[in-house]
Order: sequence, then C-alpha cells, then structure tokens
Amino acid sequence: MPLLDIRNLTIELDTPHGRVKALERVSLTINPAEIHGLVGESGSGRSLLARAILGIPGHNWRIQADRMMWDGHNLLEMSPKQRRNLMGSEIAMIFQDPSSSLDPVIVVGDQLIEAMPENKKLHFWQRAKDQKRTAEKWLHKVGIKDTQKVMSSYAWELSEGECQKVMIAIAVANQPRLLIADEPTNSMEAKTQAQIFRLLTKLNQLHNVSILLISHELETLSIWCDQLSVMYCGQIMESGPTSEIINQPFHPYTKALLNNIPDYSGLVQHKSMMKTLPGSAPALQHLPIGCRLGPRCPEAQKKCVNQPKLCHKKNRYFACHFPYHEEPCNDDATTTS
Amino acid sequence: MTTPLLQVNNLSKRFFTGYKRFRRTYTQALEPVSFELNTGETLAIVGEAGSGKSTLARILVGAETRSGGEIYFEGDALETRNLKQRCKLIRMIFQDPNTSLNPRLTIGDLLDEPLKFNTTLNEKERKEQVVDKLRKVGLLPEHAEFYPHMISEGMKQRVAVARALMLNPKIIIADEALTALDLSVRSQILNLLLKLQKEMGLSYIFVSHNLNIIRHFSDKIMVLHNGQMVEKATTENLFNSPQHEYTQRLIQEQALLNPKR
Repeated sequence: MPLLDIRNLTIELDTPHGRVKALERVSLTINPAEIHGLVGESGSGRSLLARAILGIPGHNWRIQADRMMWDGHNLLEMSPKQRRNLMGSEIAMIFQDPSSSLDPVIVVGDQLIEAMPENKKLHFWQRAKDQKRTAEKWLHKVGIKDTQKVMSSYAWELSEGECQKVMIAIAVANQPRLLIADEPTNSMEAKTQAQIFRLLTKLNQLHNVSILLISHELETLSIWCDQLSVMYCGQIMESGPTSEIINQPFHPYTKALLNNIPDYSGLVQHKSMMKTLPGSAPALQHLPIGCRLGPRCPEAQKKCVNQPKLCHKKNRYFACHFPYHEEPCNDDATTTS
Repeated sequence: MTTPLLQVNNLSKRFFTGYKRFRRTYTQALEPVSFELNTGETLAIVGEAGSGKSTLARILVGAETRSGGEIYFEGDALETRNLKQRCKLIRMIFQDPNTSLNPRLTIGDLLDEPLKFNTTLNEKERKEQVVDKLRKVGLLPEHAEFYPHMISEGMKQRVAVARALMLNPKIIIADEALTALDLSVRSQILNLLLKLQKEMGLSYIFVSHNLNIIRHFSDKIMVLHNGQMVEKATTENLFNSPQHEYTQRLIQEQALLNPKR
C-alpha cells in the first residue's frame, strides 16, 4: 500500500484577480521507503503541494481532491487536531531557507529539544537530561561534530549548511515516516549540497524514511531520487522511475528540461546555442486553458486545449496528447478538461 | 603581438580587520593574481565561497578598491578612483534579478539612468537608446513602461543584461548571474549572452560555481582557492587534464552531481 496517495488534487486560490487554479488535478503516489523527486520551475506550485500534504493551507485556499490517503486514512476527512498530530511526528518538513526559518532569539539546541517528544517512561527529573542527550545524538547523526557548541549557538551564528543540518535534525528527531524537503540545498555550494543529499539518502536507507525531494535542479535530483515527477504550472507532466525518465522522456516538457543540461558526449558544439522552449512560464493570472504547456510546446496541436488525462504505461505516468511514445494511450474522444 | 583587451597584473586585495596590540591587521582576501582577456573571449572564475572570486569581480568593476597591482585596458592603466571612465568599459550583471532592480523605477527609467549620468544625449536620443537595447535582449519597447514586479524572473534578468549593455561596454562581468535562475530560463539567458557576444564582440568574465555551464560557455578558466590562483588554463585542457589537486577534486565533485546518461 502506498504511504501517500493523492489523486486529482486541485487547489484554487482566491486572488484579487479572481479565483485561480494554482494546482490542477495533481496526482502523486509515494511508496514507503522511496525517495521521490519533484521537479518544477519556480511558481509551478511545488511548495503549495508540499504545504497541502503537510496540512498548512493559506487562508485563501480551496482544496479539492478525489482522494488524499495517508497510509490508508483519508487526510481530507481528518479533524484539524488529527492533522496536527500527524504534522511533525509522521510527516515532517524541511523548509526552503534554513537560517530564516529557525527562530533567531532562541538557541538552536532548545529549538531542537522543543521539537522532540518527551520520553514518558522516565521520571520527570530525568527527562531534561535525557532530552539533551538525544538531541546531541541526533545532531551527531546528521553530521555535526561539535554538538555542544552548535547546541548553544543561535541560528545566525551558524553557516547555511549547519543550519540546514539542524533543520534536518529537528525534522527527523520524531522519526517521521515521510520527510518533505523543500529545496533543501538552495543556494549552497556543491560540497555542502553533496553532504546534505548523502545525509538524506542515509536516513532513507537506515530509518526507512520516505522522502519527497522538491527542487528545480534536475541534474541533482536525477542522481538521488528513485522516482521523479515533473511539474509545470501546477500540472503534473510526467512521473516514473528516474533512470527511465532520463533515458527516454515521453513528455515534450521533460525532454526540453533535459536539453537544458549541457552534455559533453561530443554531440553539442562548444559555445553553441542551447535548445530551449520559446517564451516563459505564464503568470498565475494568465494561465492557458487545457494543457498549460500548450503555447510553448513544440508538439502542440488543436487537441491540446483539452487537458490530457494522466495515462499509465507500466510504471510510468504522463499527461500528453502527443507523447514521444509509439501509441498514445489516451482515448481522445472521451477526454474532457 | 597585439595588446589584450584587459590585462591584470598582480592584483591583490586585503581587508582591514581591526587592531591587535595597536597594530593594524589585515586579512588577505586575494593573493596577487594576473591574467589577460582578449576581445570576444569568456573567462570563467571558479571557486568556492570565500575564495575571493566575488572580490576579484568587484575590484574589476570598481565597486571595491584594490590594495595592489595594475589593471590595463587596451594598454591604458585604469585608475583606482576614476569610476566614470571605468563604468563605460566594464559593467556588471548581479546575481539575483529580483533584488538588483529598483522597484520604484520603471524599466525605462532604470535603463535611462546610466545614460543620464554618463552621456550628453538629450531625452529623445536616450529614449531611442533604451528601446534599442530592449529590442536587443528580446523585450518589447512597451516594456519600458513596466515596473520590475510586473514581469517574470527571466525577463528581469534580461533587463539586467540590458542595463549592463547600456553604455556599450567592452566587458561584462556576471557574478553568479545564472545560479538563481530556473533551468529553462538559465539556458535562455545563456543563449542571449552567447548571441550578444557573437554580434557585438563582447568579452565576459563569468563568476560561477557550476562547472557544467562553464564548460559549455567559457574559453578560459581560472580556479581560485582561498584567495590564491590555483590553476589557469583553457577549458579543454582544464577539464581533460586538471593539474592541481584542488581542481581535480572540484571536477570529481561535479561529476557526482551529474546525471549518468
């Protein structure tokens, strides 16, 4: 049974320009103990999806879904209190900007202890010491050597990489089953990035944590993830095992993304123009109808004004009327937007 | 032998860090560095944070004063304080387009500003220049009336490129100009820079830590580490046979981040 199963999730935002569908019929399945990558440009609704899964909607959101199952329980029917209990303990999140999402006036160690559960088996006078010890243990586990010093320093005294490690420690201290990492390595150096990713995969292997890794860098995601979902403007374009997607993309958008990574097998001439899609991603107020890639897509035809259904070939899913695949599986006569 | 467009000899920078036992102490941010750049070439500066690559870029553009060394532009020495002379020749594109454009000015005014201070053109001529540059970076003349928040991130970076082009410079310095951008926008801007280089014979100095792009884009690469120049070679040589241990490690790390295809 999948750990998280989302089918046709639609999020509408009430903006001054009217109601906007920021996410349109997004489906996502995360199995236990897998690393799932979510690629998309900025403004494609990746963070909205993460917040919807965690259950921290904004005040102007309307969430609709056919199904949103967490380990066999329907997330949509849960009371806010039940959702709150899941949050932090079973589903944990690492936020985008680590140094600004930690509290600047409280010492890092106290924040970590605050996030950890109390050990009810111990007597109350033993708990404080025990908590401190476990906090140090977690910091050590995420790769901080000088735990004493880090515990007693403020967020602004630490480097970006250290802050991120503390955030990860806070997130994993409750032993969650799903870890949502929203751009965990944004604006970090290659060395720190590799460290953080190595840490996340280690957590995944040793503690069986499923990870939803959100990023815009296809290069990095393609090494560290088992499954990959590609998102564009609030619609899922393609999803499937990473190696297959990299080797043979079915969707024009995935192909265009892959073209943007320079490649040195000798095919591309030095300093030559790179293949890009024309135009830029549309703003939320001016979304095209149907397939949102439509106006920029090289394969687009008249049919693309209807949103294609997500279709299923073995373990790959893609939403396109004209995929790079022998037989499109959509029964086009019945597609509706 | 022709004189190179830009020649830098033993350029160094040290920062004052306070007094210790009544003596002034300094940290050496940049050990003496020399290099040269020809017309139409791209030089990439690679290094990790704190390696002095941003300092070098800022000295070249004049945002920071140098502590020692000379900069020659087509054989003429550039003075330390003569910014007016320098800003016509060397201009800069900043990292984050969202914060480097003034939100209170329309894009037309924004692009107009360097012309206002550095040339004697009248209003009509300046307007023509602005429209011309906007066209060159693939925007429409109507965009002059827009404010920066009204356009997308990729367009903002195009405006930043247009601003750098405004005074017809010979050299453009891009300090991490592509790292904050999305993948598809990044290659669009990269294509734009390549096109401009071909059309106008610009030279670029490109500061980055993404070796992948640099390999595609630059002719020469300089590797900095802790303020020291570790290696300087052409792109082909550097990637095929890295000499220094640090460079080898950098390339290995990058290979770790590359998809296996």
